[in-house]
Amino acid sequence: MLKTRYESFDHTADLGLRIYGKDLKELFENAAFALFDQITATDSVGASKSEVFEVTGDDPADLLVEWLRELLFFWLGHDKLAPKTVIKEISNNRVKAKVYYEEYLPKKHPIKTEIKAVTYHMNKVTEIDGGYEATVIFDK
Amino acid sequence: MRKDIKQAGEFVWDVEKTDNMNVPGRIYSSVELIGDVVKDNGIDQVKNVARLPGIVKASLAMPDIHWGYGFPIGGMAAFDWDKGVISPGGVGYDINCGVRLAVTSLTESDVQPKISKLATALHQGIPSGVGSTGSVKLDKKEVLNVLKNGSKWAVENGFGVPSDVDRTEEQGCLAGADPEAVSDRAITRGLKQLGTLGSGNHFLEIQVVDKIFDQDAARAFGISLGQVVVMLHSGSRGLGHQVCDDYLSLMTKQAAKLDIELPDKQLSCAYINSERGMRYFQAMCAAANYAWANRQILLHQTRKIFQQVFTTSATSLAMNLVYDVCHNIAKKENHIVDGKEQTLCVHRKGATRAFPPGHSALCDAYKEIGQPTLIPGDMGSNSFILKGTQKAMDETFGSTCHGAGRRLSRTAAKKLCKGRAIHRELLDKGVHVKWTGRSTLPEEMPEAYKDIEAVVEVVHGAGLSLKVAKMRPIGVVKG
Repeated sequence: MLKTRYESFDHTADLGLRIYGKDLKELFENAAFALFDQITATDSVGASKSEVFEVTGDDPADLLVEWLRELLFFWLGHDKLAPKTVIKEISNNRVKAKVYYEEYLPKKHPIKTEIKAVTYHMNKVTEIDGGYEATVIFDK
Repeated sequence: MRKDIKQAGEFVWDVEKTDNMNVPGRIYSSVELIGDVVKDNGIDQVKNVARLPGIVKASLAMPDIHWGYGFPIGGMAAFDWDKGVISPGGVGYDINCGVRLAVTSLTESDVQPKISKLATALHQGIPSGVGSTGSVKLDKKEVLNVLKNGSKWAVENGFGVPSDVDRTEEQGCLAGADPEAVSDRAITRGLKQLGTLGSGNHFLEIQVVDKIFDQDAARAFGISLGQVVVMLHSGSRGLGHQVCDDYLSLMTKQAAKLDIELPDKQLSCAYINSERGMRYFQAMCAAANYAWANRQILLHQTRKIFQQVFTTSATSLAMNLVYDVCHNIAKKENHIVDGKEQTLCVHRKGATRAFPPGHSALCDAYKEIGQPTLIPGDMGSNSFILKGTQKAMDETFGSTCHGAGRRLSRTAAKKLCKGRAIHRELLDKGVHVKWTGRSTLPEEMPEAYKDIEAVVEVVHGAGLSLKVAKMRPIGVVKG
C-alpha cells in the first residue's frame, strides 16, 4: 500500500516532486493533483466543468511530462485550475483523460507558488513495490 | 575533494577531460567558494555539456555556478556555428533574463526621507508577483511587432528615449528574430504580461553608489559616489518560458534520431544548421526582444513614479540608462579560437557578456572604457558594476559571472527562516522591502545565496571583468 500521493524534495534550482500510484492511471491522476496542490489550495477548487485531454509521448516518463505540460498550460494560458482528473485510457505512450476544472477567481483561490515549467531534468517513471514512482522537477 | 578537478591558478580549476567529453571543463572559483561548488552537482553538469557536438575550447563555469537542469546555472559553452548545436536548456527558461541600471540626479540624502513612500509607490505602480498582468495591453498583431523590434518598439511607442536603445546590449533587438517561430501558446502567455516584473529573484532596487573602484570608468558610465541609482532585474516572463518549453519538447523527441547521446534529456539540442535548430534560434531571438521591451517599459514606469514622488521633471531627474545586459541567451558571435576567427553560437546561461574596450558592438560612449557589466546582488546585499576586458575575450568568449548564485534550495531557505521576520532584519540594515508573494522573502533570504562580494572577487581577480563601483540597496521591490 502506498502511503502518499506525492512528496516534494529539494533541488537547488527549484521544486522536485516524487509522485506515487498503484498503477499508471493513479500515478497520472496523482501527478495532476500534485501540480495543482503546489499551485493552489486544491479544496478551494470546484469541479463542475470538464474537458477531455488527449496527450501522447515516447514512453511513460515522457508521457508524464507531456501530460503535466498540458495541464500547466491550462492554468498559465487559460487561467483554469484542474486538480481533479479521471484517466479514461492509458498506455505507455498515450493518455486520454477527463479534466475537471474551475476558472481562477482571485478571491476564492489562493495562489501558493508560481510554477513556470515542467522540466525533463532527472525525469523518470519506475516500478516499485506496490505500483509506480515518478520524479519530476519543476521550474519556479 | 573530487579527483576529477584540479586547481590550475588562483581562480581557476580544470575539470579533467574523460573519453566521452569533447573538450575539458574549466571552473572559475576561489578557495572560499569551491567547497560549495563541489557539494552541488554543478561540476557533473559542466562535464555533461562538454559531451555535446561542436563545443569549442572548454565547457566553462563562472564562480556563481550552481546545479541547474541540464546545463549548470553560471555555465557557458560556445559551439561552432556550422557543426555545433544549440540547446534551449543551455539558454534557460527565462530567455534574456537580464539587468538594467539607470542613474538619477538624486543623492542618498534627497531620497532617504521619502524612501518608504517611494518603495510603496514603485510596488503599487509596477505590476509584480504571481499572475500579475501588465499595464500595456496588446493585441496579437502588436505582439508580433514587439517580438520583431524589442526596445525599439517600446521607445517608438512612448516608453523611453532613443538613447536608451544605444545603451542596451544589441541595441535591445536581435536581428535573427522571427515571430512566426513563436507558438500561439507563447503569445497567449505574452499578451498580458508585458510591463510586469515577475516573481522569484526578479526585483527593482533603489541603490546608493557606495564605493568607486575605477574613477575613469565610473565617469564614463555617469556614476558618482553617493548617487542614487535604480536597478531592474527581469526577463521574458511566460512567453520566454513557453518558447523554451515548446522547443525542448520538440528536441527531446528528435534526440534519438540525431545520434546525439544525451546524459540528461534537459540537454536536448539540435544542430544550429538544421530546420529545428534555426527555428529555435529565431524564436529565442524573438523572446529576447520581448524581454528588452519589457525592461524598457519597466524603466519608463519607474521614471514616471520618481517624477511623481519627487514632484519634478524628467530633465531634472536625469534618469539616464547606464546599460542593459542579458544573462540567459545564445548569441551568434565571432571569436578567435586557436588563432583563427570562428563564428560561434555562444550560450550564456547565467553569464554576462563583458566585451573589452574597442569592441565594435559597443556604443561610442563606452568604446574606450569597455562594456558596463551589471552584477546584481541578492535581496538586501550589494550589487556591482564592472567593465569588460580583453582577458574575458581571450578566455571566456567575452563573458563573466551574472550574480550571487543560489546556495540553498528554496525549501531549505524557508526552513532556516522559521520564526524570523526577514523584512525586519533587512530594515535594521537600512533596506526597505515591499513584496507581494507570501513565500518570496523566506525563499529569497540573503543566506540562500553565495556571497556576491566573493563571486565578484573571482572575476576581478581572474581579470574577466574589473570592478568599477559597488552599490548598496536602500529600497527593494519584489514580486
